[in-house]
Amino acid sequence: MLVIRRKAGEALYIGEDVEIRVVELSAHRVVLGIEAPAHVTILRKEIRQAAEQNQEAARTLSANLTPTGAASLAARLRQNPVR
Amino acid sequence: MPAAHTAHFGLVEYDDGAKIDFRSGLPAFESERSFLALRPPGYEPLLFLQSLATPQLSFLAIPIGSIALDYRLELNDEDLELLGGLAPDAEFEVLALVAVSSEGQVTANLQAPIVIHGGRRLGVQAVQAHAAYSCRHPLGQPEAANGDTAGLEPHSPLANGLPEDTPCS
Repeated sequence: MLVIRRKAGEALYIGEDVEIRVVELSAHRVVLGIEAPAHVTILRKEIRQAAEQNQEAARTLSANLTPTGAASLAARLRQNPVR
Repeated sequence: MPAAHTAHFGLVEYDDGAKIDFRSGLPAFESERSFLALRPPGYEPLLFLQSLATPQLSFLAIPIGSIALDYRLELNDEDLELLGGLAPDAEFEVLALVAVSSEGQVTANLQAPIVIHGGRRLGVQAVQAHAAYSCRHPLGQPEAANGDTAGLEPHSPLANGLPEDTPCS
């Protein structure tokens, strides 16, 4: 991973037209400003992961697990709680 | 009484109070704004989040309290607003979506809990910004191979919500 040190007010480019500016720094948080063309999607990483995970979860009952399989998983969870 | 076509349970009649509004949808399912929480007998502790707009869309879910002790939920202002504002902890139901991969691995997403305020009929997927919880928390295999590795994974120290280094993507 490329690591770049920047101070508040400084900026960098990714490619020709995506600019990322450090707007504000505090002890636990950094505020970033991003300028990018409209076609560039900007997503917080955890939201993108949630979207991918949701798609897999949605496929679960349609492709990978029958309701019978869900019932047997439920029975196993009742017998042997994970916690 | 309204009725909904469901993915697995045919036409299901429901009370209007059972309809949960997700005002901002879910990541990757932004246009899905209404779900029913179906709790058919025989499936406890699992439940089904059935989309009202898309009959074939149904998520399997599990109360997080039944798989992760001491789960610490953080609600940001935006998510709290989507849930109708502050309320006593006990009024919020916190669920994890369950996924089964094509290889048969069963996992629960602890990083992006579904939070429901039943009284207000509001729900949100409160994606946790910090990485303390795995989005693929193992729940074991759905079909055991003739008892040799039957059952769930042994108790894992990670079940208490310690960081796990399995990448989520």
